[in-house]
Amino acid sequence: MRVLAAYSLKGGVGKTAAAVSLAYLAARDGTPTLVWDLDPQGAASYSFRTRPRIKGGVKALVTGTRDLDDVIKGTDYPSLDLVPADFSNRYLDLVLDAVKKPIRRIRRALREVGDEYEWVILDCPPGISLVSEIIIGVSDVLLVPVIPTTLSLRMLEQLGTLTDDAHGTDAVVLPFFSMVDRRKRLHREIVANLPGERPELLRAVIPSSTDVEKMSVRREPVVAYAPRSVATAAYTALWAEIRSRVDGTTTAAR
Amino acid sequence: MLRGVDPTSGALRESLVAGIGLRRDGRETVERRLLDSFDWRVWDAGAVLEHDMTPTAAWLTWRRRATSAEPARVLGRQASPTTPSTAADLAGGPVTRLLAPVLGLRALLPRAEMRVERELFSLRDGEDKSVARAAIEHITVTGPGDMDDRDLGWRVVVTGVRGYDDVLADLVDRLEGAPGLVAGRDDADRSLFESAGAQPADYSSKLRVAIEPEAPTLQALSTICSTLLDTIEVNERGVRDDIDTEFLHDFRVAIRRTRSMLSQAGEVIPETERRFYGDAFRWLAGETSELRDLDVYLLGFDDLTAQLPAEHRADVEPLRDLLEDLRRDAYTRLMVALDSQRYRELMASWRAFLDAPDGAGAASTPVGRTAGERIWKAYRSIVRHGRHIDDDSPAEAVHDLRKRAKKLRYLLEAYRSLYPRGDMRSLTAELVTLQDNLGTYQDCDVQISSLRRFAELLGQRPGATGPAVLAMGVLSSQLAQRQQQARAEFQERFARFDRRKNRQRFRRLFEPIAEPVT
Repeated sequence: MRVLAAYSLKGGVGKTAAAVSLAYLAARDGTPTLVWDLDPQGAASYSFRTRPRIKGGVKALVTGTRDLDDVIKGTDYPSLDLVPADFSNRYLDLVLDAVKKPIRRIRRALREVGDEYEWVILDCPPGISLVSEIIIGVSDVLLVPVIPTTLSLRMLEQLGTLTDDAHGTDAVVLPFFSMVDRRKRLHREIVANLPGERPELLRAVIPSSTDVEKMSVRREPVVAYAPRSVATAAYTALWAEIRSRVDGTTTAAR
Repeated sequence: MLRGVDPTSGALRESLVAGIGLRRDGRETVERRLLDSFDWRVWDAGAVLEHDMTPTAAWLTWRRRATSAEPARVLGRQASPTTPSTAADLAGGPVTRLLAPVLGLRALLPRAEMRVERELFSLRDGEDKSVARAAIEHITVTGPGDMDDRDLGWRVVVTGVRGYDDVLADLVDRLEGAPGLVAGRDDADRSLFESAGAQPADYSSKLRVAIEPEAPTLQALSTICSTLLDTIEVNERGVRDDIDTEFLHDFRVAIRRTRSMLSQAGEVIPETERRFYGDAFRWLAGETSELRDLDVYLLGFDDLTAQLPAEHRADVEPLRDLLEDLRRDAYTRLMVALDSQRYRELMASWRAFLDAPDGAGAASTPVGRTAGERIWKAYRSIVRHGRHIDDDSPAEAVHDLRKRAKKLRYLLEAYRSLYPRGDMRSLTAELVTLQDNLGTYQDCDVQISSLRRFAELLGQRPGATGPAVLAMGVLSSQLAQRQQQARAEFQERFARFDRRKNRQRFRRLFEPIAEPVT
């Protein structure tokens, strides 16, 4: 089992679209995949047409009163399951702060379903918080969408500080360009030049796309309803690149 | 969950859609193979392994079978472009994790092949998400091998979506009211296999023979040996087709047990027959040894060489090549033996003998008595000889004890049904612990001599075999160390076997009661 966290410091950067699309691609190959919607907005759950409600709230999962097994829902797609969001996700910081060894608890919860899934994809709430620290602590891969603006570099630096501070993380940080608008010169320039300074940036680039925007209307992953679109090709390339980066470097399942 | 269906599925479709509110999701045709080992390991683990192929996808499913307590449940699914034959053929995944420990060394065989035409339906919730699925399925069994297609008719299969268990239960209830549907049987999986001509759990490598204590000894012997002959015959095909190493293993064990029965038969079987069949089975056993030995070396090759220091490990590859060549030759020679007149006649005449055995001497004595006598005698001989072995005793003494232990083991297994199950299980387990120690000692000995022989053969081959031989020298000394260790542990192991608790148990079960003198 490997854990990939779709994470960003700010919202609206294509994080959930990526999480949902990559999970769909993984499952389509027959790889059993679990998405955990940690975002109080519940956008991933909405894309999977699942009501954002779990019994006992997210607190039950953190304290161990409930297992993930009790709350996992199947989606419309084989091999793809979901831990839905819950409105209590907005208190996740407080819940995690109130327990001892929160990283260990989350790891244990994940381990219990570890045999059933090859990939667990966490759709994280945006921002820097205790939640982010915990997520970094339990993940193998930190997938970070970055809109190519002048603030991107600054954001990557902040991210670097965050991961350095986080407790003993082995997480591989994989930033990638998201919502790229090739008509904008700034976007073109940054996409061309930043990888020189930041070699960890993935080569696959996700374009800004109305197909992707439709996901919240159609409530399906874009790869499902627009298989021949540019967006699908981009996510497919992204997933392939993530897998090849990870296969060389992953430590054994925790 | 399965429901039998009336062939007029038009009315059924109507009631599913209009009546229950299911949505139609299209059709698909799946080519399905049910896979299991020759000895039904997946079935014994409570599951069914399916390999499904459609024009666009192929995947493996591990489905736990329904029990009276729980419905069937898919425990694992993974992509699989081809039908796997061994655990090594599979990439990592949840099915592999479930299958590998169960399958071990055995190969997977297609035990049933079928075409499943599916009409798909789903039940949706308020968000238009599927919360349960149903399919009208038409199954045609097409294999394995050449067989006429068998039309198994129609059924409705209902599957839950994870996390929506109540919905599933509710849907099943509602379906029970639909026209023409009758509840499916719990043994639906068994019937699928049976339609393909396979009988789940019809083979086990364990000797399972039920005999009554009052039965005449000769009859009991003949029952046991007939079962062993069945095992020999049924494994022959697998040996010839070289499907996996366990066919030959089971073939040999059945032969060994047969020889053991013959040598224990004493006067019950007339001497001429005893001699004749003893010789014949000794011949057959001999024909199989070389191939089995090489199988074992090749299976254990990686483990054996893992012990070597890294620089030697690559050097030893020429040995593997040699072993593979030798194995190929040994296989060919065994095929010659199995094709021979002598083998065919042995099988036929032994079967004829067992069907109408000639008795002599104590043939009609109840087996309850003779079995006890034999077992007691074998047990006492182990105790007597084992107690005399100390650190200075020659290697021969240990080998000898090993043979005696094997005799006792075969007797315990052959006559198991005559005695209380718990006791037999414990005593056999105790004996096995002793046998493991004796076995390790013997195996190391044999491997060391074999290595010497292989080194000589390697030396005769072209190419730079010097490093390989050197590495084999290191292996030899490691084996010698392991052998020393086994020997050092012997006293303790034997003492454990010989402890009071076991002595009392053996005595209680098998010690002959002295006949009162009148």
